[in-house]
Amino acid sequence: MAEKTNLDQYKGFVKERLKSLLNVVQSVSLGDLSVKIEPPEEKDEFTALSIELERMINGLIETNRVSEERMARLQAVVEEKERLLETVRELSSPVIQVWENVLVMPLIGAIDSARATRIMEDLLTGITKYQAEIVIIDITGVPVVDTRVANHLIQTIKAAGLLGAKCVVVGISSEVAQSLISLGVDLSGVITRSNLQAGIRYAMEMAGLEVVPKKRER
Amino acid sequence: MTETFQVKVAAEAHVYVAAHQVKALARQMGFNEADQTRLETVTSELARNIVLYAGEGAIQVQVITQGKRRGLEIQALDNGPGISDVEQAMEDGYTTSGGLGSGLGGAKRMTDEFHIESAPGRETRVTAIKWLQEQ
Repeated sequence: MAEKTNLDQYKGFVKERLKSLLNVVQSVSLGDLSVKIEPPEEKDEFTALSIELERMINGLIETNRVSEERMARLQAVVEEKERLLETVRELSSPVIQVWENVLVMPLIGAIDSARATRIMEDLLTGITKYQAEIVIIDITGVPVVDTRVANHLIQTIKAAGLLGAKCVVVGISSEVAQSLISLGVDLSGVITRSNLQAGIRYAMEMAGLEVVPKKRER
Repeated sequence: MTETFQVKVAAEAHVYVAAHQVKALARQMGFNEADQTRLETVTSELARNIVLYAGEGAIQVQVITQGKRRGLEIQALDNGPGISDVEQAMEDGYTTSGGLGSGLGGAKRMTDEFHIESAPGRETRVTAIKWLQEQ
């Protein structure tokens, strides 16, 4: 009978130990790594298992820490990139006063909706600030002019017109011109000149000015 | 030379990535400047349609051959609402988004082969091919 009792005791002990370990494993699989494994009072068959389990949990904690650090670094890089992009955006549509009432806006880089909105705002602000009557928009640096970009451009020109400023578009390359024709984009209402120089000459004419060679004094 | 690639399109920035890569490939293949710009613009139109109407999709590009001639095939794929009337969508001036509305018709004029496989509720596949002129 004594043997039977011993066996029962042992079974009870195994059940107890398994249960406590199972609790730990369940917590871990639910994502809770803060569980502590109670160290057995004396060495038994479960000691090695407990130790390994603890090592595994510590490994997981370390992995989590490393990936959190990595995420934080990535996040910082992304934020830095955003800031740089913002700077680039600001720099990529400057409004420059080249003469009284004459502005030049060189556009460089792809134009998406966000930029298009910004370009329009910057230009309208510039027109009001400098009381501009003529704006030269240089699109030499715009890589793709599709229907959407052309549409943004036309909207901007219309808005400038409402403020009393006339826009001249310069820098349409022969390739872009051919694409625009194929796309059926109607730019007939838009004043265009081949390059910035021609645009400035046009602006001067409109302002009643002319550029003449300096007279040499003898 | 990368003869085939795919660009995931889910934001406006991807439109330019796709267009830029297509232009680079067209240049490598020996297309002249005007055709490079056409292919770039076609890609831009197709990718932009994905962003505007489907939200996300992909641009698949591959170099194709037919006999001796080589060409560039641009495919735009998406699982958006689809185009209910393909013929109408190709007409100049047709738009449901407030654009100039000549994007698809223009893309067709700028390429040698152009077709749209679409029906509401099914995957939309727009294929545009431009052949390299024999020198």
